[in-house]
Amino acid sequence: MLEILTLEFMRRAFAVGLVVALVAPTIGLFFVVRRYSAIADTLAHMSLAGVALALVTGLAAIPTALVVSVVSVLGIEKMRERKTLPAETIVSLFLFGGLAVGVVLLGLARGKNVNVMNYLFGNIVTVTNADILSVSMIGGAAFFIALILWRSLFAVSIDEDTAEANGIPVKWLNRILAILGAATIAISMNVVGVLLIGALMVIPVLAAMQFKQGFHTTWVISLCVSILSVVSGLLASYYYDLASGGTIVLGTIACFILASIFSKASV
Amino acid sequence: MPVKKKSPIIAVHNLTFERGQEHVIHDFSFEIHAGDYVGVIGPNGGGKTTLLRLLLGLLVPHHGEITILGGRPTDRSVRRQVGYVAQRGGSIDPQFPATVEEVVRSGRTAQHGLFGRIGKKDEAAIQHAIKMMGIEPLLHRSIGKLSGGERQKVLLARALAGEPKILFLDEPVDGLDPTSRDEFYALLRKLNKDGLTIISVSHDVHTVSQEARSAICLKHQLVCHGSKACLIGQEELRDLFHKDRKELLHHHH
Repeated sequence: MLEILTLEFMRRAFAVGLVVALVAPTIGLFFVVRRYSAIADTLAHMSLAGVALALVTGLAAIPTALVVSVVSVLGIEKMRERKTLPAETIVSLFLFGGLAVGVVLLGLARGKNVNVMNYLFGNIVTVTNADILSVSMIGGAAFFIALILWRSLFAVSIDEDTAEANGIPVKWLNRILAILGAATIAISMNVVGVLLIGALMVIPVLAAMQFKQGFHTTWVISLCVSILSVVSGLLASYYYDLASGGTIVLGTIACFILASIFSKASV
Repeated sequence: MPVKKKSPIIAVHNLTFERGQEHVIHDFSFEIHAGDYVGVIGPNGGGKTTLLRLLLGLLVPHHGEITILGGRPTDRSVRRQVGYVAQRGGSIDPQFPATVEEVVRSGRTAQHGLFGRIGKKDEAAIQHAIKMMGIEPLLHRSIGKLSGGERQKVLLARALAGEPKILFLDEPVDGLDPTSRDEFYALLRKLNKDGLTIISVSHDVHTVSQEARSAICLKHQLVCHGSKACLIGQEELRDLFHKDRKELLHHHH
């Protein structure tokens, strides 16, 4: 098994995969417990629009996707704060808007030497050293900001009204969390692709929640599920020549099923 | 308590809040003094919860002024001195993965700030709130697995962890069995006796007349404000609630 670690491209794949495995459920946890998981898919589609823009303009894909999804998510939060439309309507509006912009721009990028499939479904083995650098920097920043703001994000997640009544800056924390979500999506594109990013943020958390433990324990279990899924998904991808994004997400689903069975058996 | 006993801890002047064309709260004024236990009553839709949300700074009045602890309700320094227990646990999802201890600790978050760490003073306040509510045996249980009474005690402990000067409660015993209600009210009486100012919204006139020291009765406008006698002598109660006044005051017996 260790032979694959002698391969440069697999070492890069594991490095990027493990960063994403740590960041995705850490940020995803706050979306899932607030029943706001759909935001992950919306951000993924906005990232696709960002990638398409990068392909048309020749800009770097990950930073462009990050900027586009951050601008979009701030727009979503602004509209959500006004409370003139239901949150799910706003999220749907941006999801389809992002997809439509992405499709149009990808049409313009046709003929340029690009592999859109890598961004749609992920291809972790094509990760470059530049990708490792940007994923580590953006992912590391998102992870540590989440840890620093952990208690405040928890208080807002459990009960927004009480948190605001106690003087916790709820609007700012929601915006910061949305930006962290956008950053997570941007760094996960190469690993699982925009179509499956939401799964890596959500399913490990859902698996961990089956055990009905506290918030901190749920987070630790979701990290274990995520890391296990990324490692096993990459191994399966390498040995059976399968798409890495799909194998990783199937790993998270297998963990979810096992968690459901074990948690019921232990009651 | 640094606030003098007789100084108004809350002063409301000419308060009006509209929703669309409707006056949910129309032009009323009152004062609440430190150490008071005020029951806010009125019929459903009469503006009780709106008044509470205005006092908490969660809604902005269209006219009028609210002063709490010498500042505005939205001032962060004011909010850190306020505790809040929402109706039926507010928006806490029963599936939320959190232990009782984590929930109580979250009540101290505003005090140590966004980047602060829990210090000795914070830890002491958390432990005091846990002990006062007698919830030590529940600490490692999931918040979603508690009974209604246990859950309200935990949320009260969360509010007390912030060492508030004023405690706001919105229908705190709604949905609780009689034993849990009695236990909860006994805790509130003790807290009030220790000097905590309590403002509790209720649709239950009987409870307010039994538990609170004074009352605010509203149906969009201020019907009465003062000692509980204002309820007992209030001829308009029957019209407000569409029930007989005696029935309102004694329906639990």
